[in-house]
Amino acid sequence: MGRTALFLVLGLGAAMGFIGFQMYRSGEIAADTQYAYLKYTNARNLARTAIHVALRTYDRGQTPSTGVYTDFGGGKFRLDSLRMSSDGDTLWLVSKGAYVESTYTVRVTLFRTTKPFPTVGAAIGIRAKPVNFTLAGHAEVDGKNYKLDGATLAGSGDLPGVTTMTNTDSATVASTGGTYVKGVPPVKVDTTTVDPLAFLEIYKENADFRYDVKGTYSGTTWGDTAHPAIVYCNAGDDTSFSIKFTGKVEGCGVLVVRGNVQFNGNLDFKGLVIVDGFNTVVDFGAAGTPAIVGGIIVAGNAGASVTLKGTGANAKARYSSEALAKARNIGKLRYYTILDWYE
Amino acid sequence: MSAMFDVVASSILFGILILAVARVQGNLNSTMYQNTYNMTTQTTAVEIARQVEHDFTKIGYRVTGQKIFTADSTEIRFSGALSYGGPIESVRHFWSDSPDTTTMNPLDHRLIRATTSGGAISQRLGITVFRLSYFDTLNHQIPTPVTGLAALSAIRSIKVQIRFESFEPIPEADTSLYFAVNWEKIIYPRNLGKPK
Repeated sequence: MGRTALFLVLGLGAAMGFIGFQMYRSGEIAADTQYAYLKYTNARNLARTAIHVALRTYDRGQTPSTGVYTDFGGGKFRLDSLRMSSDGDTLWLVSKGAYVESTYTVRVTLFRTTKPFPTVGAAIGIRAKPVNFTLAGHAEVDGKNYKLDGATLAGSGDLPGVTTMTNTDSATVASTGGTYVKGVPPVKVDTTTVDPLAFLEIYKENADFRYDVKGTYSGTTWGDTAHPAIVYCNAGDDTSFSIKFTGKVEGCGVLVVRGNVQFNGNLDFKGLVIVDGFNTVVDFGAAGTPAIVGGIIVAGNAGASVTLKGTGANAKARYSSEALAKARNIGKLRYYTILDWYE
Repeated sequence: MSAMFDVVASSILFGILILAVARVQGNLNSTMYQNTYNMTTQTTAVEIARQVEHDFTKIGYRVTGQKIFTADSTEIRFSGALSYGGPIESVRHFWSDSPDTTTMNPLDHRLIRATTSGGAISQRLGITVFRLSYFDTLNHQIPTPVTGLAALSAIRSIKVQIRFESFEPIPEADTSLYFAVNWEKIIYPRNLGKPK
């Protein structure tokens, strides 16, 4: 009797053990399923992150590297391959994300282009009236199309030296500038000069260098031709020149000047210069050889006062489509359109 | 006399033990069933989530022109290649109008997935809610059914809400109680915004 009871108890114990094991297994399978989904979604997110990281690398003017894993959030991602069309406007990217043993691959074809860029119709295009325009010393404005170095002519694509909104202002500029204003023609009325206001917010948001505090800044470098930059000077309407740049000031890209700013010493800037404000007063250079190669747009709600000086050798404000292209193609000013996205 | 008392007493104790063990086993079995249903429901939810994500992220892949053809609250039909560089297929997901009578759950309907290459597959998954919502580029919801080429072309994201329930009610509980898993996600098919 006692032995039978013992066997029964043992049998029941074994049965309950089996049931308990099955319960444990089903719970474990459910957890595994959920965790597998977590791993899958994490790997997918990492693969997408790789694409975004690659594009942000382009934004910084650099080329993304391939085949190198980056650890992130317990997983890792990498750009497997990167191809670009000969004209640079189409990109093929393959990225991979890995989380534990889950991997995820994304294959993307993107069209790369630039954000809208203000049309520059002259070496200096003025969209303000009336215009107080002064060329002092040996300053020179030339609308012929120069190469990036500012010294060699491109051979085609010449523009006017200065455009204004009215005949009166054109006459003033022609009279003031004389033979120092060159171009095809030297001075012209152009009422289509673009209002740069619509572009300023983009430049402000993406500025690499911002000057919002009054003061004197010297020895400044704003990028170079390989890494053009966006500069935003917000001087306000203080006619006492609340922002001054002295010494060597050089750079490449987009230079936005809001309000009254004085550039002293040698200014050497390649790209687009936008001067905008309320009855804007801008002084480029005093002693030295200020040079702006690219294009200048001057806009003012109640007129503009622009002074170009060059008491040393000739100052230069020269049109250059090549320099403007550098500004247009700043990484931050590009955007991407999806042509195909496979994941 | 003493031996007889031992036999009777041990039989009573044995009977009590058997009853206790039987009850424990019953409870264990019930719990095991619940775990199994729970696991099945969760597994189904994950599998369908992956299926929906797999298909919906392919909307418009390799397609030029119109990409979504039907967009209703329980149905979507679109074009897209389902494999890398593969042929463009017509894909349709819809929740059947009538409940699935092959399960004990009175609320579940079948989800039908139809593709050009795979044909129509009626999936018995215990889905009691299948709701699709559509949003434009500004994340404004587009009323369903979305009709007209302009409205269909304006779709940029799709919100998917699915409720999975077990086929049978929870054992030894109110018969109207079912295990359930809710899954919802807004999917942004990247190919929807590409140029025509």
